[in-house]
Amino acid sequence: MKYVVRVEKKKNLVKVISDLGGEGVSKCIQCGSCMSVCPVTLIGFDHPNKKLFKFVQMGEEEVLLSDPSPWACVACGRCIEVCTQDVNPFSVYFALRRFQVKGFRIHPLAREAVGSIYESGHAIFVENEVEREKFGLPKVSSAARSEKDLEEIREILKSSAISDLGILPR
Amino acid sequence: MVKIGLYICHCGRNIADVVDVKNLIEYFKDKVNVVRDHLFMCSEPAWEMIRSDVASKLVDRVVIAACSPQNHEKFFRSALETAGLSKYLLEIANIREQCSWVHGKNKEEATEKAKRLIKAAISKVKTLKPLEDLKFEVERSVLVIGGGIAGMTASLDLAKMGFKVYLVEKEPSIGGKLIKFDKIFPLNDCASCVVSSLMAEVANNPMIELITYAEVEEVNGSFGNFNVKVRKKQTYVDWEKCIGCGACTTVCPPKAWKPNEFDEGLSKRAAMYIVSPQAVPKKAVHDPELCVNCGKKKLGTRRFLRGGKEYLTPCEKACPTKAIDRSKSWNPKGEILNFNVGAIIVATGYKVMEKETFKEYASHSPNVITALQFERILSPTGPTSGKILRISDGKKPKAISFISCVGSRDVRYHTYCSKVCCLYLLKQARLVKEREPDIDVYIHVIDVRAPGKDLEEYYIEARRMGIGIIRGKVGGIEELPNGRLRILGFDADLGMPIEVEVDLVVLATAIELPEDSRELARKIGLTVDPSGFLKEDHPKLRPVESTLTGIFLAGCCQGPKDVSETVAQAKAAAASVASLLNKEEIQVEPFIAKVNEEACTACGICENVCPFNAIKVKEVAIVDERSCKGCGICASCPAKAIDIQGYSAESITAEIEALVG
Repeated sequence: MKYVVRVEKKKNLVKVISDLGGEGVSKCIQCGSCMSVCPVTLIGFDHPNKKLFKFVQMGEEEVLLSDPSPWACVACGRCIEVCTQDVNPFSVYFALRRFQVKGFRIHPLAREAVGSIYESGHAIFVENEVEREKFGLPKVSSAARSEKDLEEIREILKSSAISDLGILPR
Repeated sequence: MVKIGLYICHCGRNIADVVDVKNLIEYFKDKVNVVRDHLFMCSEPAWEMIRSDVASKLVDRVVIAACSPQNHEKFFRSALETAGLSKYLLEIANIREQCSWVHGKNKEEATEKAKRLIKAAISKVKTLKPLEDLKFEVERSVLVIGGGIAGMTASLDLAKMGFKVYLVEKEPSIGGKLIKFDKIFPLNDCASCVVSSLMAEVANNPMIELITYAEVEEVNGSFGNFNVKVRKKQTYVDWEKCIGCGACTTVCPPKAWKPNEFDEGLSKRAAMYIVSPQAVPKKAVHDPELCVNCGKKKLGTRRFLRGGKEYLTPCEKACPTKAIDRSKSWNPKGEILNFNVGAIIVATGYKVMEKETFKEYASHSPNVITALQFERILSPTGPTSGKILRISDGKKPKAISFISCVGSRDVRYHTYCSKVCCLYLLKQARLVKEREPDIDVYIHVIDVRAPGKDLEEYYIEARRMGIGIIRGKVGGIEELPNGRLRILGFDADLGMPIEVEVDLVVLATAIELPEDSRELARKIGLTVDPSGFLKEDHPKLRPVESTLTGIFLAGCCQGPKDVSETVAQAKAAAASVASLLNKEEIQVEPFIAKVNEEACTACGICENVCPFNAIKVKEVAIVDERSCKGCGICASCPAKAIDIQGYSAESITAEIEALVG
């Protein structure tokens, strides 16, 4: 893959991402310390932390709209601790989530997470229930103590801005 | 009989790891009067050991087996001198650079070689005779070559210390490259404000004789008393009368215009010109190669019109003070000035590589320019008065790319880093962003090198301003049919190829030593090192001294450096000059030619072969002690009547016999 910078179609994404809460993005000098500790990097996503920040600096909108890495962030906060330039990579990641949502480019990873909250009350979803049974583990429980509580969680989701995105299960 | 003391240095582990010092001591203990070793012979306790051996008359000849005499010969000599012995009864066997360092893999043979080197030194030291230093009166004046920031700083410092300074500049004005710049990093302060006041100070200092538009032709003699010959180029304008109004430059016809050197070729200048608005001295100069001889009136002739009225060329007519008189026959060779100085500071500066070398960067395009040209575009005295425009069409560019390491860090051209490019590119990019925030700016780098005080912060601020830093050497630039330029690069941060389309490309071409500085170095005997710059005597301990005593280096002629470093080096050079010249007389090593008057047949061969004109033959050959550099060419005398003191035929033969015997 190759990326092409043309002035005519370039947006000042540093300003956009800064306004969405990622003010530190302009400070990144690509040292890579955030990537050395980031679980997203370890799992093998294509464009973890510093690469995405570089795309922001270069104004490459398309990559930023479609890349799933921001949704894989587990908010462990290690990147904030090691960053030499006070970028706060975590907050840039969350700004990138907002950027994608604002562009109605919601990655399946995000859909699944929101769907899981709707179904069971928490964001972690389990792909294979049968395997759990085999090892004698209990069924995945709901975060809610009762069906009534779960209804309330769903009600909150429905009345929040997320419902406008059309990603809640019907 | 002479009593020889041998002192063997371990040099920590540098020598002792390879050469078997115990073996050497065992071998030499019966051959000399005293053998001692020390972990560091260049330390004070070792120095005291040598001094006390000499003082107690245990030894009267000293051989040191250690590192190159270049490092510590003077230090060891001082031990002999303090003990009351002639300091020249000393010989050093270099068993480090010429033995242990180069034969690390073969310890036994290295030890054998060390033995031979020491034997040769012992044989030589036996033949040495006590010598006295030569003493000369000092000429308390200094020649500074080059009127840039380095030359001006050094001149002013020396003038303030009370030395007479001759400042020779080849251009009609001083100011150097720096006066061409708009701003300088790291404070983005105005370059002109820094330099203009210095220029004025230089011009008005009574201790400084400013000789512009002149070149050094010849340097003879040696430290303490150099004889300098300077050729002042012909200006064809009477500078006594010229008031620098510039009237003559405006009437000179366009036929006689050429690319203006001061604007790096981005504008044109006439045959009659004043270098820049800030020129010091602000005087007009006539370029005879460009002159079209208006009205067919050639230099040195008069022309009368019908009716007997004299014809005057437009420049003659325009001059309000009658400083231009083209009927005078001028000497195109100029005027030769002769004077004596005690020391010389070479501050001839740098040039940048021409863009034409780099065809892969579409250098044929007028929209690909060098960084020095871009400095002129940024400068308020430049062709665009500081507006950021393309010279080719006068339009404001939408995007600019800066490319670093063009010709530097590249084994095809120069392996060294030009050192200042990263920061001046950041500076230029920042100035663009400050003036025209809507212009997109990219800098393509191998790395950003911003070491030192305030410089990393300067870089961080540049990033904050939205300047795109793309790590990756640019492989090529294509010119598109619409005149734009497509940069083919690689983004090493992302591991992806990148294309950037821009309207203007600025190349940070490598800094080099100019050809005329190389020529000057040849004339006065300075060494050019493998990087292509003038060589300092020692990179750490004598960084402003050249390889010749009494000649000093300052600024970029010694290697790439920024303004702060240049000023620091110029001040260091001035202080070094002062420390040497601030005495009644100077002492010089006595290694010069000595004539045996009885053997001399006055054949005159020595006079002919001496490259320094230091021998004159009358009844016998007579050596001028000041001019003789001890090169030894005259020692090829057919009557064997000339020897170099300290390096006599007897000494050298003894040395060779010991080496091969």
